[in-house]
Amino acid sequence: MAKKEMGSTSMLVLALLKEKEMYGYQIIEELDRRSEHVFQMKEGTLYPVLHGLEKDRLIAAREAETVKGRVRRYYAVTEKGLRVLEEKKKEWNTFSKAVTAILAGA
Amino acid sequence: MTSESWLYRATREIRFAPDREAVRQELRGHLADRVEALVEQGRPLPEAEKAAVEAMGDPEAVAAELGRIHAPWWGYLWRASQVVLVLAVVIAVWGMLVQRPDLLGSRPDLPEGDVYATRYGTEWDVLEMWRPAGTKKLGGYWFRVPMAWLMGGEYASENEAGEMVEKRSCYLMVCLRADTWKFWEPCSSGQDMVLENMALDSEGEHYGWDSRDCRPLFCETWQEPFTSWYLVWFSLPGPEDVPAWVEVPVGYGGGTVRVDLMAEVIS
Repeated sequence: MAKKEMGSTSMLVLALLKEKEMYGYQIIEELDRRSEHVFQMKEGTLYPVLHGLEKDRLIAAREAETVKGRVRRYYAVTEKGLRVLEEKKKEWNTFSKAVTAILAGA
Repeated sequence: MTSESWLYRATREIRFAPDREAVRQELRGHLADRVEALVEQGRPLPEAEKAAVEAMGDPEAVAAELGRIHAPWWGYLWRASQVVLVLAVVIAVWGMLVQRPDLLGSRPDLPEGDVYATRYGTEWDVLEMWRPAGTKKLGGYWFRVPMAWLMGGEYASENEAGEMVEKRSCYLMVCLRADTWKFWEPCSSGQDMVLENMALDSEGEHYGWDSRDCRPLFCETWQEPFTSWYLVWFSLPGPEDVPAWVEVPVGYGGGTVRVDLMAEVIS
């Protein structure tokens, strides 16, 4: 797979899904809750991210029926997704260290 | 905006219908979850629905992204292959017509045996028959001579004295066909070319419509979409005057078709 630019949302989604599989709505709620309302994205825009990750095989989807009969699409991270997540985490840490270093001096 | 119209707008750019439906289902579920959560928080249903749609964001932005991701290469491939198939059939048929336009054209009545009956009912004896080979390409038209034949006949005519006498007549008939793939431009000028110019033969004789200083010549023509037919009548004094070849003017830059009766070939 060619190395592609990955948005930070993708990285966060991968991080969440590492813990457990979730469906779209759940992901929105978790991002909001864990970031203490910092990450409140427009909910529609999550889905292109999810489908893009799925297309790149970083996550995999399965469908499950709820008690009420609604079909939900659950996403789980793949082996490849885990590797990419680790890579992105390292990049992010390098980046944030650098920013902190510059800001500390300011 | 209602949730259905948001869903419609947000998935509009997903080309492949099954994919579009699946994504729509997923997003519909999301909206339902959001509405449920808001209702549980105490909001009245219509307000909850409105807020849920608003929370989804700009449908056009989502549509663009989804359209890009769900670009169905195989869906396009299928459609492309259908287009290719149609084009292939059209080209095959057209290519065939260019090579074998005889499959399309219906030939005029050519003699099969010893007798040639014209469309006016006159019957002539076919004294000799040739089937010259070869094709001559001139200006986007392929000229062929499927058949040439010599016919003789007698007909009653008044002489100067007012008496009915039998006159003998002899004609060399040359059937020409001009095929083209340019069905919008059939070779209609051929007849004018033949009639406005003079045909020539190996003995140095000239043939023309205006027969004052040459032997008489007539030309009939039939038009079909891809084929033009010509029947050229060369008037000969007698069967022994059949030349070795005749040259027919057909236009396209002074082009002619030479029909070599000895070698049975055209050039």
